Amino acid sequence: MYELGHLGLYKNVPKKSMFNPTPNYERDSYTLLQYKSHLRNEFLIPLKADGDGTGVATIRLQSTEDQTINITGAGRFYTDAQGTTGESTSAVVGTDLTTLYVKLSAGSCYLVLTKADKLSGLGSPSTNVITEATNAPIINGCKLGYKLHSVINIRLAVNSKSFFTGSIDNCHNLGVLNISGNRLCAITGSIDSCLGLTYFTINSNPLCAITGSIDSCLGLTYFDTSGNTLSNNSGDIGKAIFCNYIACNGNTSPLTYVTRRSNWTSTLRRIHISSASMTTEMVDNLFIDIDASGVLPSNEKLINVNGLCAPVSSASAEARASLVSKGFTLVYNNE
Amino acid sequence: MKIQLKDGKATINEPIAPFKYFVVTIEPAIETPITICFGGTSCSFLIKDSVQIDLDLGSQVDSLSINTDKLIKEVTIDFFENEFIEGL
Repeated sequence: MYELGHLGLYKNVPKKSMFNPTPNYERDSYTLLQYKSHLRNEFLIPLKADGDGTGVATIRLQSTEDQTINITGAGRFYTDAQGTTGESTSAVVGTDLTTLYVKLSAGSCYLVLTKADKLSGLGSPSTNVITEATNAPIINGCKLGYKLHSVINIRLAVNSKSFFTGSIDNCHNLGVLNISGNRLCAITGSIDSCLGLTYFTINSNPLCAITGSIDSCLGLTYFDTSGNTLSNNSGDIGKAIFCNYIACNGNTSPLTYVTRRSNWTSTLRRIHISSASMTTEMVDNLFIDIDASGVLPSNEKLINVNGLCAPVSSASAEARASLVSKGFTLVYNNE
Repeated sequence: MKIQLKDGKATINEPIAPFKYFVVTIEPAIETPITICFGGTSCSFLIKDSVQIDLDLGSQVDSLSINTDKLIKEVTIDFFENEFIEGL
């Protein structure tokens, strides 16, 4: 009796979907391919040829169980670092850190991991996910766009061309994020999503904007946002009981020292913060407690509470003199 | 710059351009604590003969003062503007 057209409602009826879930690596956009891959439990790493395409990139991945990795387009895997033997378009990423030698003569292609939920390492804590080489492909903005349930390591330090984007909110088991010295990565998200985070450095990276509190990461051992002005992290360094390196020079994250403690790590490398939330009492207590704990300096031997931190008072004068005699370098605002 | 100390102290009232780090050398070379104040910022450390301190204050400072052992007669401070990357 009633027709949609008569009621004027036909405009609200969705059109029949034309969505084709099969990825077309030549034609689909990276964003669309990512979505399709997500539906298939796949993870894409986009590669781009560089130079004349004759070089070989070394890519290192790890999985919680063996999984096939395919390469699309003109990309090829090899079994040697020279890129001369064992040419193929598929390989296996194993449970140990797996080295893949990759060549791409021109254009772009994708590495297609077939079990996204089993991918555990984009590199390892000590090894980059890619070693760039002359005329070899680069990782062209690999996006952490969907959940990567098992990823615990992401390392892409001091690379000049490769980069990641996306959010660490998709990597809730992340333990290590090391993109120190990589100026192209543009990663967002909150460390509140990564409760197992132990090693975090975005040193010298200007594009990442990461939030959250260090209080969320109870196992934190290394935290470095030096040279990054976009990230803003709160929290109490008194609770970071395993951390002997907190460096935020050039970054004004509102860190505090509320929870007084004597159980510092066996040695203390560095505390470098510029926080408007650090009161004179906190600054004094920090010096007093570190001195009283007996912790000795190592490596950088630096405690820097300059910048936005409140000035010291005479209450910490004795502790500061003692810390200097132990070998610490102290930087602070004058009383 | 070379700075002569009197009773382990000296004050210099002249502008110092922004720097990334500085190198301090003392004469005579004995292990002693030293505090160098750049305007409102103090830097305290132990020195034996020469030491490099990474300190980027981000702006010009207008005065410098030194406080160390009375035995130290002369301090040389060289300022450097180079970029550096830490903790890689």
